[in-house]
Amino acid sequence: MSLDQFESLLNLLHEPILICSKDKKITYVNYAAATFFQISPRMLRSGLDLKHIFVLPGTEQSFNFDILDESLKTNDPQVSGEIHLALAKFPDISFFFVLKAFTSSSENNDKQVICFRDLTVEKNLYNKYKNQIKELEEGHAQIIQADKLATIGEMTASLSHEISNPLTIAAGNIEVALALLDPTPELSQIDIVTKCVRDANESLSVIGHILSDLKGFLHKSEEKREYVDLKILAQDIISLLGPEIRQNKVSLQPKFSDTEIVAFINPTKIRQVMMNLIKNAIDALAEVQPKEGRKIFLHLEKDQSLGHLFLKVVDNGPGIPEKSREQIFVPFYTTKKIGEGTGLGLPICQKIVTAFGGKIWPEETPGGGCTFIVQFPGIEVSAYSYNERYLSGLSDKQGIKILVINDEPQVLNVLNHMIGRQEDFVFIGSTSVADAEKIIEKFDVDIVLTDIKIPSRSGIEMAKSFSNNPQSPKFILMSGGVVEEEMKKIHGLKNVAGFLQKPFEESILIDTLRSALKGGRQS
Amino acid sequence: MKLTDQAGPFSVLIIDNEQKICDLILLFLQSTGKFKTLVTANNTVQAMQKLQNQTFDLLIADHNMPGKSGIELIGTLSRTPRFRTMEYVLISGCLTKEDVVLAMNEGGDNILVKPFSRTQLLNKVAEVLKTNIL
Repeated sequence: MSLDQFESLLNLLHEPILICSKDKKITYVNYAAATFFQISPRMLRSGLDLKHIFVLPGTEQSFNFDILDESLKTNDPQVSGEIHLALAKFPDISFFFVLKAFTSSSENNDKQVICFRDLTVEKNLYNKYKNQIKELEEGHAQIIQADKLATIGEMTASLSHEISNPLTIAAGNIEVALALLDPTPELSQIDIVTKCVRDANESLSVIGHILSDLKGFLHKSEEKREYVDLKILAQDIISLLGPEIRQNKVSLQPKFSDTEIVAFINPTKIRQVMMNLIKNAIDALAEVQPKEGRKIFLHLEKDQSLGHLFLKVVDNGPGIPEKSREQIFVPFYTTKKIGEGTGLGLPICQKIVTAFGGKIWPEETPGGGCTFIVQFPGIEVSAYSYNERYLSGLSDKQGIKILVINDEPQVLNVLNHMIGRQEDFVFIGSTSVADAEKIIEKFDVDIVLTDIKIPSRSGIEMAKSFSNNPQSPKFILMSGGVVEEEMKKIHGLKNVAGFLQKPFEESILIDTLRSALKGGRQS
Repeated sequence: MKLTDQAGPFSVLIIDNEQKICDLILLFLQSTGKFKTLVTANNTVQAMQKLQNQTFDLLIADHNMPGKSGIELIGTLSRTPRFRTMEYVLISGCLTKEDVVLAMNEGGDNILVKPFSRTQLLNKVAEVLKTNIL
């Protein structure tokens, strides 16, 4: 095939193609490229350089076509990731591309061909959908907030009683104390004054507690997720609902399993789910008077083999009537009187729970009543699927998966914050070694960051068990204590890529992770 | 204000499940020196026991209590001939319209809303006992 034939073939293509010499001088553009990049034949003849055409968007810096050098060096075709380019002549016009470059070598001169795959339309669509999803999420957040306000509205009666009681005590006691001290303090009555002040003080702190519980519930939640101990969260809700429970003569008992129940969720939203479910149970119980008393049990359990977490709200009320069973998750369906229920409680619970990859369904309590079951995925799975979502949707680059094992949810949160700031890192948190080990192979984990001392199994043993596996992830061990003994044990283990002495700063953590990826070993 | 040991003509029974509220009302009433007996109870059962051996001029009851509510107690008592002459004050942090109607039907038409101050309480008590205790 002659050069002319070849060039006319290229001219038929829709995608821009450039051919340039080794020193990045353009020698040929096909028709598509000429129109795309506004290159006139006259410009071409004047000896056009790549850097005369493309700049980085929003700047005047020329774009560095590294992949050309790479392809020249290796003599292999090279494909770039997603690239954002603007035209030097018209800086307002910018494109998203994936580039493919290859070198065709002949005896006297190397030619390099660059093919442009235009992603601009896809990218714009992607951004458009991203914005629309964001708008939807905002709308969703508003509905959730409205439901919370409705819940508070329904609770006003019991809350105002709960606040006015201590307020009366505080104000009244201060009034008495002031009167006793005026005009001249009488020492004979100092006991009464002391008691007054103490009672007032206690009552004020009661009000403070009620308000802070309320604030925790009403706080408009961001999308942010955290590692949360569900047991603590449940205790908060039980204390917030205290007045409501007492007023309705219900006994609410927590039944938590001994294992840790840590979920990767948004605490304010899950608080709302618990709140709604327990309030529903209280409302259902108000209609009946069971022999053994009105009872609600709040279970928290973990399925050891699959890692699922379960939250169960069990009541001994009348149960769900058959005709309503199908509709309980339909928005605005309510069996309560007008003004008492919005009909949004359960649909919102369902929305929230499914957004965290969970499920919610009702069952009949053995012996009568209703049980609502909420199932969450184990933290490793939810952390992985959530964090990976933030990788750029188009580039085919894989995120670097970092599994962090620590039994303290707060530590996971801090590390998630640090590691999450690196765009290409996917953070997977775990609180149990057994769960983490299952995850390592499933998700192709790149780095495991673990404490030397963790309950059940040490980080070193874990590294050892993977040491003969060629696919082993790199291990980085953290420790707060004396390390010399432990350093000796690490010696033979090739898959231990680093060591972090606690406390450490963010930059040190990131450096250690990066150098572990390069294959280095750092202490 | 002085806490006097001076005794007056009136006797009062105070019922609230919150002991601190009882104590407070006690202090408020003591300061006037117009009361000869002041008794407190934390629920309606205790209150009924105290009412067995003794009669009172005034009963001050909280509405919102575990067990029987203040309105129920007042309703029961106002239908009992022995307590015909007793006066009632109902205190509450939050009453719905239905509660108020119910309270009035049951004979508890003197309502004091929490939070209340000393003056508010004494004014209400004075109004009910038709005497000037301030």
